[in-house]
Amino acid sequence: MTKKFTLAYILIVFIALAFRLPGLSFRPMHGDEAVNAIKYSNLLEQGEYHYNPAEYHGPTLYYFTLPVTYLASENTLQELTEVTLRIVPLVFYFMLFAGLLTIKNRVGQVTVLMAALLLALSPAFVFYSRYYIHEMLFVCFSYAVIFAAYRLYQKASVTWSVILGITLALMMATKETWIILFFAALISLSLLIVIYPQFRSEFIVRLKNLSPIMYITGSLSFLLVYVVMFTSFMQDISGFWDSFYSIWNYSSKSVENSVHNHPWYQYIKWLLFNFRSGNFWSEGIIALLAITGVFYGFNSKFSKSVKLLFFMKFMSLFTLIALAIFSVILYKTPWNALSFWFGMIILAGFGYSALMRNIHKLLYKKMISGIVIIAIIDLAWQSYQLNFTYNEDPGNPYTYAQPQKDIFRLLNPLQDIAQKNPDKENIYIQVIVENNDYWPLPWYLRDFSKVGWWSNVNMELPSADIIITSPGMEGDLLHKFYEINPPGKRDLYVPLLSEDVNLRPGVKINALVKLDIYNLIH
Amino acid sequence: MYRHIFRKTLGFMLIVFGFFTLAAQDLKPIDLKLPKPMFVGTPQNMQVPNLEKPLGKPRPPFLAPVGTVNLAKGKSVSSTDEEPIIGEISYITDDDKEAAEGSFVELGPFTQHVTIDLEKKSNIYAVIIWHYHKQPRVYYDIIVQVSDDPEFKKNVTTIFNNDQDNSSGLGKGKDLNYVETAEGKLIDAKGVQGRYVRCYSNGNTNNDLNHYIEVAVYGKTM
Repeated sequence: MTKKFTLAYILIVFIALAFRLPGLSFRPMHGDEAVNAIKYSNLLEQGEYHYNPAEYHGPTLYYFTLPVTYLASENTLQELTEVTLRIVPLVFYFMLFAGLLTIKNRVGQVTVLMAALLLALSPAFVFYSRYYIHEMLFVCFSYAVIFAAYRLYQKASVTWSVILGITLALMMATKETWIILFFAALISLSLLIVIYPQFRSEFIVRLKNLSPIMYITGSLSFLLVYVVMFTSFMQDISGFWDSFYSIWNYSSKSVENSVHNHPWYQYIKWLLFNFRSGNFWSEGIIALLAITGVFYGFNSKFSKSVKLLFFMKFMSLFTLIALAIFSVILYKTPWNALSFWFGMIILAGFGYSALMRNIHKLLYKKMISGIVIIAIIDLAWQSYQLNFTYNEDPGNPYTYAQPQKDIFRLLNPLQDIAQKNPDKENIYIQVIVENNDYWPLPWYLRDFSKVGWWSNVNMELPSADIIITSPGMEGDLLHKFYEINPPGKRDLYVPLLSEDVNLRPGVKINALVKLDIYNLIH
Repeated sequence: MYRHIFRKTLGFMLIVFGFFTLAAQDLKPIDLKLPKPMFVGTPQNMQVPNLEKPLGKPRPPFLAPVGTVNLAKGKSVSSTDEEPIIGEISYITDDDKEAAEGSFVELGPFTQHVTIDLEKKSNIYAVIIWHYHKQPRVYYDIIVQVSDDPEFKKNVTTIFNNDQDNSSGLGKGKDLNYVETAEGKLIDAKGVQGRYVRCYSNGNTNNDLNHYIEVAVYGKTM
């Protein structure tokens, strides 16, 4: 590694940090983040985790949060903060930079530097590396599998077979979409073997280089991590069997009618063609350079390194097949795109490097570099806008059912009431919203000890001092307050706010409070 | 006599015993077991283009000439889907605006319409439509027309159209999409005259089906 390369790489990592560390708590917690936080708190406080094969993905996010909260001395749900939780995906994001270094000797310094720069500035990666969901861990482990497999392929060793076993198990224990990437890799490898006899011969030789001890250590390390993760460190053996049922559950989900069904081109639209709220958002420079990388990867006359080209052929096929499979599946959420977008970034790095090597006229080299630099500056500007200015705006392609900052208009007076109320945070609160659509409120009300959660009005229970509810519930609540309750027991409720709060676009809530509670703060 | 005294003494002793028993019990508040939040998957993303910004507060009442009533109440309704999957077409004019089971009718997928016969030609000042509003939804291609012709082939006035891409084939609309609420969608009919009111829709953000809870037509018969 040259000194120039090292300095440039460190600078890029600092750029990545500059886009990610500030304002980690600014964006309101997404419903998925809040669900993960509450599920994590069960593990944190009671040491309990049970894998659910139907929903909420795998255990790695929760177990890898433990050391972070330990270092932050946060031991209960109430002590947890957005910053601590969001540092977890950040750590795995930065591991991608380490992963790129493992392939540097094969793909070259320019490829790695450009890929690192695009990784640092990609708006999608900035946005979701600050999201407490499984995605960043999944991308990290998935590409760790590819890099480890590639290093094992280059030089068989027990070390890399163990790393491959561990990262494969972690990938599978993170998100059930591992199966998509597995098939994409399998198809890519099969195509290379079938189409390129030279690769086929070499592949067979490399396989023979793997000794039995490498197979055994790799398999054992895989099994150990897989079983430990899914059984919650041997506390719940059913989790191991559930990990197989999950494949069926998630496969059904991918074809069922769902509110997350989108057309085949939706990922391309999110990443490349987003014109909303008067702005045009696009990570087009990555796509253009990636297409260039695919072109050079499949044209051997442009490079003498056969081994490099086979790696790039594999990355091209893997990335495009993964994109195709994700696109065909009806169920889509924008963060799923990261699984193939990192592949595109690697191809983009290679594409730029190949361009510079194959264009001999200095003037053209400078022109292309100039255009790329301008496009990267634009990418950086988009990252800033999408992550700091428009981080909750529905026009942002990466916000998806994003709660709005308007939620604090409700939470702030609740905190005021808690301070002035004799029971403090023990005041009784009911949250009644249709279809349990109240997230992320469980996260924001975590300091209140007496909160109950319902999806409809329970006519038999006494009404709480504060009722957080949606407009659709008001009819039933009025019926309960003034028709069910006997005369003399009909408390007067008033809306806490004159205008409903936007929990997220299209979803409104407000709070009804007993008059004596309301008078505490007015 | 002794039996009487015995009974009275026994009764007195029972009362005293009961009193001390009660007093001996510690009274404490009933321990309310509160349900925990139900974990849910990723909620629906409401990213419908050209969406009307919500008022954020109750809609103010609209003004109309004295004597204006809901002419649609109890009137007959016909539909492109004469055998709805859930509910009856008559629910649309039964004056029940709740989103409960038994209050809404579910029509088939894609573009469907319902037509209300006001029985007499009328001056129409406002139309209010309630689609299913128990969840936040946007219904697509809402088109409301008034005509004297039951076939809607002549003398048709369109008073609302948010079909911005003309996917329902009745012309491009300029009105905005809107999220359904319990208040219903108020449409200004500007006093248009007609006997029949037809309401179109073409699925919603949750599925391809069409739902009506109520349609109210405020006006005066001529």
